[in-house]
Amino acid sequence: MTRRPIRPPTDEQFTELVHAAWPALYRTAYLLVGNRGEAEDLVQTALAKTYASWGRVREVDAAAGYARTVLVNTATSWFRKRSWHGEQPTATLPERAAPDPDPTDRPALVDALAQLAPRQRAVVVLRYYDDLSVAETARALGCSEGTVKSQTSAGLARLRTLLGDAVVPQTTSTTSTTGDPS
Amino acid sequence: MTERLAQLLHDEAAGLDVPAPDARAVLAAGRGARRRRRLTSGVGALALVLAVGGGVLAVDTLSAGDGGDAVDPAAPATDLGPVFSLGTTVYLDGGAEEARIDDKAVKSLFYTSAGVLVRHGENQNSDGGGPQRFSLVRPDGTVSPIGIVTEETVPGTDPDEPYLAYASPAAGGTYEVTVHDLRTDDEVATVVLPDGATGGGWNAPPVALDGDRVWVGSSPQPYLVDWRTGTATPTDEIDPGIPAVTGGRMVRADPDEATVVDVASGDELLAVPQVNDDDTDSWADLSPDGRYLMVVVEDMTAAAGAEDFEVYDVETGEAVTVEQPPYEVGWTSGGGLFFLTETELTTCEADTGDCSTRPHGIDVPAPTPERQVCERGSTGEICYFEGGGGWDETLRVGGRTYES
Repeated sequence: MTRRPIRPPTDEQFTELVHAAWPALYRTAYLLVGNRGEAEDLVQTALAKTYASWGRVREVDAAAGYARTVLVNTATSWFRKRSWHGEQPTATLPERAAPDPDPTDRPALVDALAQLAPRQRAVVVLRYYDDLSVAETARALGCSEGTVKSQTSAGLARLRTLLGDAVVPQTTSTTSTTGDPS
Repeated sequence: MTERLAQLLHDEAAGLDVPAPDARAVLAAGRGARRRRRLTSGVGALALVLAVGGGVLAVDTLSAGDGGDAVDPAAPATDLGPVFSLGTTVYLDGGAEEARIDDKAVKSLFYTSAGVLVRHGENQNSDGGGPQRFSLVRPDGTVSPIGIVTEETVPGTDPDEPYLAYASPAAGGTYEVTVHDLRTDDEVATVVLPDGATGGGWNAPPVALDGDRVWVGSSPQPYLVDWRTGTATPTDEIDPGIPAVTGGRMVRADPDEATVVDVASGDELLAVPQVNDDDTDSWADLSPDGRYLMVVVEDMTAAAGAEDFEVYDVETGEAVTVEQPPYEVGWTSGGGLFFLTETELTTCEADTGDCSTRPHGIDVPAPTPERQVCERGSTGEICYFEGGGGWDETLRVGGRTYES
């Protein structure tokens, strides 16, 4: 078929997109990588890739969602690099956080996320922070829905060990979603 | 019942002090990546890395002690020259031989001493795209299906060996490593990993084959398997995740230096300075046989990206400059480099940096028709287009596994 040329967005359009999408992407990125500097790099990379792949986006309105998919896939790729510090076990991680929502929950949560395997971390953040369904998470990660469910189960089990039943109750269903049911 | 976890995640995110974006830097990086994509694009991962600057590269060759158990990577018995695939056709020796794979898509091409092991399946996704089937393409172009199907895992081969190693779930909730002889299509060893081994995000942990050793990237504890003796022991020589071991060597990188180490002995063989700052990014990759280290210093403010790169001989520390963009590089199993365009094949010697270009004469397949895909997310419906890429939409080059 004849391919029509894809015009990239204007500088003004893209700058507007960067400013509009940045806060939400940064927050997701921080939960994925647990480090402010790395989160900034990750969002910058994802948005730059989005610009470079404009032929797959086409519409400015769709770009933020596309950038989020790119962000998650890029983060997963980063996690798998040998040099990624987030893959190193953290010996000082407390086994359980305090049961009440006090400030000690916060570092424990980020540290606990860092203990998950890459795909487990991505699944937990996408499903319980970004509120994606199983199907949406599977599409975002390029894997099957069964994999999302198994990774969710494994991730929640690990978080239960690290954070305690108060945060991740034993009765948690791993196949339900916080978005639309799948 | 995950309300508490969700609330903590939202609280954590809401409490962040979000920095202001540098839209100009993002735009500059995007332009650079777009240009590189036009120049060298493949359907695989976009080789975008933020940052780069110049600088003279110096190099230290490090003592490997008195040898000990250090691996001495040798050229494999079978160097099939430039190996690549377009669509479901695999080309050997730059197109001198070709073979058709009976499946929907080629995922990646692994070098072995028995020929090229092709991983294929329903789509091009390597470790997250459904069933992974395998076929052996021999040097004469004949094809034999291999009786293995894996899913959501990363197998390993050694260019000097006729084997495929992979991990799979085993009884009792653990995992086992299997070594398969590609010449006979027979399993030759199965080693059960200790309790506590994990898939690390895959259905089974990713592995790398290194002679008699199989490095297993279980998380958080990796393992080393000796498949000849059937032993599996914890190791800290590799990190969890995909074991980037080639020819018994791997690269340990930090922002200032990339070091090639002999994985088994821990000996450091070569150290190359790296430049990583706001405008500069450096990265280093080993050839499939571990003999050469490719080092890229990329100026991310340059629209065209890097236009050349250095190749170091790990044994001698000598470096040559290869005057080609370092994206979508293919390695031959013998340590040569190659680059493909729609009409030409360029091959380069890793020892001298000398390159030659000739028409490849291959009738490249037409691009796949584009189609619109719409997804409904929490922020509304998102539509984008898949397929419809350039001539290299389905290109896979040898020596790269394209894991996500």
